Amino acid sequence: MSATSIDWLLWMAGTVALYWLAPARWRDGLLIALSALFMAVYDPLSAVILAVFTTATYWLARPEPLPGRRTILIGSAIVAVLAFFKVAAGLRHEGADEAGFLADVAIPLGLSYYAFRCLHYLIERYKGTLPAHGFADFVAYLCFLPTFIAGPIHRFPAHVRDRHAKEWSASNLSEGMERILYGYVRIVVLGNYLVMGVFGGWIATLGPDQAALAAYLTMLRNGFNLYCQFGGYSDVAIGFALLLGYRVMENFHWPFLKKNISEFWRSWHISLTSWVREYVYMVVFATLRRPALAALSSMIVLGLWHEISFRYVVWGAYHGAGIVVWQAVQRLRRRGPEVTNVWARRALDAGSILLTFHFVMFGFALVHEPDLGAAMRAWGLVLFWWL
Amino acid sequence: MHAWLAARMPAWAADLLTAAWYAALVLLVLYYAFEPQAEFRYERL
Repeated sequence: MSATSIDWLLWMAGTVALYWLAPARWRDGLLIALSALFMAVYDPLSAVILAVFTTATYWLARPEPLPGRRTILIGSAIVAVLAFFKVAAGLRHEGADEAGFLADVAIPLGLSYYAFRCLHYLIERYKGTLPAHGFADFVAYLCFLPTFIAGPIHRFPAHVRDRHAKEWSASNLSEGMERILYGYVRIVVLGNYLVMGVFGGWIATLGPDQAALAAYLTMLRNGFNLYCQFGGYSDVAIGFALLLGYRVMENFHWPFLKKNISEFWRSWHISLTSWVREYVYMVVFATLRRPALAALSSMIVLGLWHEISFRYVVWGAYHGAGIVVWQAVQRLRRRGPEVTNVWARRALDAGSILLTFHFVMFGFALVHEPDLGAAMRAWGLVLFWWL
Repeated sequence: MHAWLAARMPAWAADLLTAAWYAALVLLVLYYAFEPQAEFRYERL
């Protein structure tokens, strides 16, 4: 199931049409039923896991206040299911001989997203910050079709607010249609055609004597393509949510124009990074009072969310180390003199953007190349191009 | 986009330009939708 498939478009268009044509009191139930039907058709295993997650999380987390031990127990069970599929994905990627039956295990559709939504609900339930709600609100939140396949990992309070407040609005319709159109332009025209087709085709014409340039441009191509695909998909999801009367949180905000790695992570996959900041960074920081350790651990968790494998641990640690270095640079800069000259300031900003951009692109090589050895060879080719 | 254009030109011109812009984007998407599509791996996370 892909955002550019006809199946997906028909499901979403049909869902939006039926939703608004149905009498108001049937709409919420209809949306849940259509989402459940979609999952049952395209990934029955995911439908079963989601049904178990939904009922177990809601009913086991009902006591108020929710005891800490019970929270940890339910949370651990969700993480264990997620980890099982993530380990399988890691072993499959690495082609490990010991993968055995795990080699055939595919990650259920949308699991990473709804598992993190469940954990968010559980933690906020424990904190006692959730608005008054019922089981139907929780089911509607986890099964929300526009964000089901690939996020954003939106938050429960906002979803409940929109669920009870929504009504037909021409401005939502026009904004939603525009977001969907821009999303498809990013995926189909910018990502697939310009970045992968035209730019990728040109890279392929470079000769063996231009291997360093080819390796560098391949890094850029992969980074831009990921941004176009994922950013475009987020646009489509946010657009369809608007058509249903829901305003889902943004997922990207010009990430390649940020002046440091902290800013980058506040503008790339925002729904996931804000999740990690709230539930990993803040917890580790509050417990240990060590910002460097908190940054490192939260970035490793962010890496492991993608896949439980050595390459994603390295990728997470790489970004964690980047944030730690940036925190140290900030402390040093506070002690030094301030740059007051406008042109010097602009040059510094431009240099910072370029440095952050290349740091991120080099990071993508760690997970895009087949293995770490290949990533190191690509780094070596680019960094020591004159050799 | 329409609001931005409408603040800078007559309403009819803003309507026309907005319609042309969206039509051009739709045609571009439809044209390139038949090119090979990249696999989007975030849906299998």
